[in-house]
Amino acid sequence: MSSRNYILQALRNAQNNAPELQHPGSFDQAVLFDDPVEQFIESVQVVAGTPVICADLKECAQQIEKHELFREANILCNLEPNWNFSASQKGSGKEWMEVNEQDDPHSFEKVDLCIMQGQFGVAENGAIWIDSRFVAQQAVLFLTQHLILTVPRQEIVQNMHQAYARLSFDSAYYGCFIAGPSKTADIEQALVIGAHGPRSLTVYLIG
Amino acid sequence: MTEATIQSNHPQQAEAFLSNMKRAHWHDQALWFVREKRDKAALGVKEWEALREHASRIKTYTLSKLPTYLEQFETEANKRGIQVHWAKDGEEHNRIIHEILSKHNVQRVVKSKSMLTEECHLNDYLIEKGMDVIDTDLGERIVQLANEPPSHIVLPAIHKNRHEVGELFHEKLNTPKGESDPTRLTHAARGHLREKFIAADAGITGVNFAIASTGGFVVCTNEGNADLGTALPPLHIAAMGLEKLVPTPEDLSVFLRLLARSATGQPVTSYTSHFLGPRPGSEMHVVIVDNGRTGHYAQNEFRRSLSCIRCGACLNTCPVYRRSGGYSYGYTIPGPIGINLAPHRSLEKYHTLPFASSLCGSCSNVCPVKINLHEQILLWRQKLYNAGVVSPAKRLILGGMGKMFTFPGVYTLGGNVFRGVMSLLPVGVIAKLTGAWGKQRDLPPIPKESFRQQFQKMKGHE
Repeated sequence: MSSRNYILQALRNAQNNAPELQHPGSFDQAVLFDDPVEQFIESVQVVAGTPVICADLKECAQQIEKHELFREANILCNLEPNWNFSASQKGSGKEWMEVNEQDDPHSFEKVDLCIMQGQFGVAENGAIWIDSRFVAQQAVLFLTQHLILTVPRQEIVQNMHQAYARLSFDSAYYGCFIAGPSKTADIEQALVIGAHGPRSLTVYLIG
Repeated sequence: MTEATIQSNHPQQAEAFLSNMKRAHWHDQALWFVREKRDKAALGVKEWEALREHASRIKTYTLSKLPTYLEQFETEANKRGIQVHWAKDGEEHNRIIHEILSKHNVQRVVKSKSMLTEECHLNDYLIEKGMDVIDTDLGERIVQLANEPPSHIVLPAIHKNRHEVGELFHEKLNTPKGESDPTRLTHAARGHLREKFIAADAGITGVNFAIASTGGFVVCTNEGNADLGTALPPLHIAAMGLEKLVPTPEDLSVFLRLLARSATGQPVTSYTSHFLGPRPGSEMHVVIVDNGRTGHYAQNEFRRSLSCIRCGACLNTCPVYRRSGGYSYGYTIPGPIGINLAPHRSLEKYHTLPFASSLCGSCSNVCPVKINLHEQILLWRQKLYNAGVVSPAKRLILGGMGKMFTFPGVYTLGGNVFRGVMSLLPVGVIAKLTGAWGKQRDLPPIPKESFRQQFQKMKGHE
């Protein structure tokens, strides 16, 4: 017998006519926040991210261009579809990589700053959803030294239950909730930012 | 040093740990700090208790239909281009993974944390076959460099202080002598491990949750090492215990609200990564592992411990774990959950573990999926007694006590003799009689009268 059939058979034998259990259904006791956007901003800070509030995408672009991380970055990637950074930055000496044109994920090794639009944010924990429909090589999000995510203000959900209600995994091979920068507390419980991935996460809340 | 080479004798190994009281106290405090962070996070969610109850019911339900959900997962994973393998035991798990790696001519493997691969001793197996295997979780890398197993399932190097890590990194990673700053040490490891990520031919991860209805699986990390380890090389292999299933993404939301809060007090881990299929041009494999789990599953009274989501909260809260350290258990998974899992592997080998508990019940109270951990520990003690694996002295005492309690006259007489004799014995002799229990403690003063006598007297006064 194959191991597959052996395992399934062993489990079936052990079920021995136990009474049929019911799935408990959806969780409907979640307490909602009065102001989920306010909560999201607070949660981003709890997970060691830096929230920035902008009126619109134009103001966001101006703020990013003034940002120290942006000014110091030499190699950048832009995955914010609503803004053409490269056009506004021609002749600045910065190198812009077109993420979705690279076949080899290793090519992002030297990226200093990556800017990406998150699909939505979660108020209870500051997590932001991204998936492979918008970034073919997820490696760039982890190799980059610093990460900026933009999230439209109207795209904030209350909690993880609402988050998964929005998600279908149909056309993605990778998806991730990103909550803050890469971090660790493996040495004496001391929190250190920048373990393997981005050393910082800045979240621009737009609108 | 691996699980296979450690003899499991909890009292003996706990004694060794306690020989350095200063360190033992430090360990106790470090874990209590994590427990307090968990409490704060749990209190921040008003519906916490309802959430635990819901999670517990989803797991119990899922376990009741486990073979059906495993088949559904396999079907859906295949549709996504994920190749599914089944392993009866650790040996087969190692062989399957090695075969996949060999087929791809893999030399260098990067791993993110997986207690299952620890359980199966995958690293030793692959290294023996000539591969370079690097653990990339910082805590796991520390213990790997020190040639030790993890001492905690979430905080693998919790037993080491910053100076010891500094020494180790000086020796292995060439950091400056005397450097013990956690930030600088972590960034040194970052540089070292980045080279390993870039050079890797394959990435191996564990599985936190596998989703039956959609076929993908989820891995939670703070460092992003599971993502880096799998986003670069063209091969991803995930090792999955067969109990890791949830029926739908909606169910997953319940567990993700509980996991990180219970583990470290964070509202969620930095990365909750959903591996839904191979990247174009790469391969993705899942190895579903039994390794004793079907036997465990067949024991109804113990089945609930298969609901465990490996948050580590029961370790952090356990007064015995905090004061005896992860290695004292001699099993891959220590603490109250380890006590409940190890005897399924060997009752004989792990017979001291069910006694490494005060049965205070704190573990059951913090468990995010409400496993009745301390009740199961008590059940194991009964099993051990019935199987005759208890030491002769303990057996004699338990047997004698059992008989005595059924004869009130014998009990009263026994009590009188005991009080009389104990009050005459010198302290040193009493300490000897109380055995291991009396090593760190004194007996309370022996009362002159029994409870019954005191009660009768009080009744007379009314």
